[in-house]
Amino acid sequence: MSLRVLRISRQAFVVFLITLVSAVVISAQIRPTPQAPPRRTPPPPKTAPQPKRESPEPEEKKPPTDRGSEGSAPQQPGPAPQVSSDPAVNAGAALYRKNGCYECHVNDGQGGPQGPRLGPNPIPLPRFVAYVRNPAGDMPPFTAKVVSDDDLAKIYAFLQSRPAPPQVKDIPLLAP
Amino acid sequence: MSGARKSKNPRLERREFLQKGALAGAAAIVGSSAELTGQTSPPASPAPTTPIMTAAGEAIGPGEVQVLRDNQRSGSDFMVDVLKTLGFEYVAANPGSSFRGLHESIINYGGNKSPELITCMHEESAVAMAHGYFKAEGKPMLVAAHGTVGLQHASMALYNAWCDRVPVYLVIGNYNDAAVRRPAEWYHGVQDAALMVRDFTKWDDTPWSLTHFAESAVRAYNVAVTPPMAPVVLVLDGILQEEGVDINKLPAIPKTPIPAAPQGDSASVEQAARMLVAAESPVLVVDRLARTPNGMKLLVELAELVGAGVIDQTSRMNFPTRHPLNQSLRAAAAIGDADLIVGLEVADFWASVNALRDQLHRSTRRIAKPGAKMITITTGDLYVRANYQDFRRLQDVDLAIAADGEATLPPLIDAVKRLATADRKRAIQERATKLADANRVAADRARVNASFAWNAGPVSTARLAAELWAQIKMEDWSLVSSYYTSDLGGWPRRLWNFDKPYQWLGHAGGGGIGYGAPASVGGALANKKHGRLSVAIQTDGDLMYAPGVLWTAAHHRIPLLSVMNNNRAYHMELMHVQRMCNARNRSVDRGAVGSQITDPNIDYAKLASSMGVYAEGPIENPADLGPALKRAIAVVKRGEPAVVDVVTQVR
Repeated sequence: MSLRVLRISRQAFVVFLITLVSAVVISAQIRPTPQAPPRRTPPPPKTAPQPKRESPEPEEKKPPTDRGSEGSAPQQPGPAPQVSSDPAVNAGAALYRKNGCYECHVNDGQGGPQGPRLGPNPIPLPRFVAYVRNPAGDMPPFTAKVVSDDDLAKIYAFLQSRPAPPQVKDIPLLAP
Repeated sequence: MSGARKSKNPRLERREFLQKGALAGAAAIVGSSAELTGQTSPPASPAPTTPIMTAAGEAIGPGEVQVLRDNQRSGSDFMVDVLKTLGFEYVAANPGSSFRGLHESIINYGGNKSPELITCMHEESAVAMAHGYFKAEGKPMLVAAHGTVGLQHASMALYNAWCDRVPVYLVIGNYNDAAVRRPAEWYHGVQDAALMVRDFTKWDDTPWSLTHFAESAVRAYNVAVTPPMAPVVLVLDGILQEEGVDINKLPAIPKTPIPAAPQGDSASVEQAARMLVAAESPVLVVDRLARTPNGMKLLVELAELVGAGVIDQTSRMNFPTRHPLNQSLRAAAAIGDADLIVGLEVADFWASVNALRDQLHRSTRRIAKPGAKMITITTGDLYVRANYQDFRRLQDVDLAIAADGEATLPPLIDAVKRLATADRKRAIQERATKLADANRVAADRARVNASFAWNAGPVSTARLAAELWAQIKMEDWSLVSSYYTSDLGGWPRRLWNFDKPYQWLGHAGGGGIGYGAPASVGGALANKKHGRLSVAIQTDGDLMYAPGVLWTAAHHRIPLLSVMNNNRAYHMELMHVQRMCNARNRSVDRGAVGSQITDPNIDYAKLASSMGVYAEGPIENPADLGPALKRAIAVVKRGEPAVVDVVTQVR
């Protein structure tokens, strides 16, 4: 490298340092006045209840496997984590989500246009297992290879644990 | 042929100008360049330089600078004259140079009124806005687009509109004459511009003169709005738009009235009336029946006259949700009980009376009882195209009337009134009472079903619908879009009282996702002058196709409340993949790969507020929803859009 080039580099480095220091000083002066997000109308009153923001981290992130970044089962936006003293119920909640039961029967087993309500008060366990293995309608069959009997029992425990809903007469929003 | 073309040879004149103009321009640049560099002759391949005005350059005589003479108008000014006679209120467009002439005529010559330009961020948004607008207003919206790249963007939304039998009036620009294209216009030039959408438009034309344009513009409108309705395309030559025309030689604008809708022939209508009066348990299945506000009124009259249950498949607002004869919440049972099933503008009549089991080996079964008679009245029998398979399976029926359903209701009602005897009227009344009881039981069951997971977070879709209903039921509201309301099990249709024709606008038609957000904005634009509160239940996957339409709503002050049904996945597709996992007996837990919209979660409130839209959320606690909706509605009532992001359960 020639001396001329080195000299230019040295000068450039000095200029860079001055610029950097200036930028830090200026940004420190500017920082106390953050810009509000643009709104056409005023924000809601501060006394209004503000929903809790989600953590940027996924709720449940499994470590990657040897199948690459898409190798692990993805995060399932199924039912909220269960607060239960019964480990079988919590395990059942996770299995209900993992196996996609919520897609038709909805997050809390309450049922929807694609599948009937399963809980609380599900049908007896043997009939439940028999139907899952060999459904009569549009439900896809779940063999023991993809969901074991033990896992189905845990899912069943989760469905049994679903809280009874409030009485319709006690919900003003559902008045006819 | 236009008057201007008769009086002279404008094409020759134009080319002469282009040659002279180009030479003069080149001379000026060369002069400037020489002045700058001191060279006496330009290099063989001169490096790009910025031309500079110099005394030497200005001394060169001007080229034939052309502006319109006082006795001239541009071709596109005349086009605006014609379009104004068709009554367009708005033209939705993303700007494109191939219709720059028309664009300028709309905003200057036309005064940017009737039609007023609506700035769109995507041609698909422009067409879908027109789709939603038509279903709220009952008349087409004009859409303008580039002839190639713009039309390709617009094509999915056009397909939706075609499947939904909605007339969208699309004009596209194209420089037909290759000899005059600027360099970029070669990529945008096309030999047959409308070809790529011809399979799913009702008619297109490429006018070669202003006379041709005037006739085709009026013809296109009439073709589009005559049932069966569908989109049309006019290709506007760039030079035809930009050339001057002698104002004394402008062509006449045709005044052809819109043709009447085709009505069923009298003998067939009489036969249908006899079958309806004689039936013991008739059911009316309706889908795209109500074309006008009168459609619902006529259907109510017919149903009450014959004591028929009504199953509304919801592509239009056909029948009041709380009418005692509405059997939509128990559709399969009502079909199974019926001895006569009448399909009125039903897109898929086969699937109304049969079921397909979606397993590894697909099977079908009839859900109508053996021996049940069937009648169809539909313009579907008047309009079948070869390529796209929207015509569905062919169902055996006893009487098929190829006619417009709504136009055929008045003579059918008259015939029923003539044929109904006192005995039959008694039987009809008894049947109506039983159907009213069944309707009440189904409605009570829906409310009980809604109570499950009432306090859960994420918010249940039933809770979302109930909270929203509580805020709007005292207003003059219109649900302009909601994917899940398209489903017969959708909560708004189960819990809300829909009884006005504009309270529901139907769905996409072709199942192309990305319709909901722009169609909502288009519907809200139509509702604005009527003072209606427009509400959309907006799914997250749909919004992300072209979220720029939120900016359009903000920019044009279109009042619309969008409540996000944010379930963070393409759940319908997710179910399909999981079904395949089940069928192949492997790894159902991996079925969600490729269908989820998580990691990171999208912040729709930030997205909306970045485009100037008032926004709140994400809301996961159902107790927070009501107050947030109230605040957002206050904003919408001031004439602006608002978004409330609600994290919801899966469906």
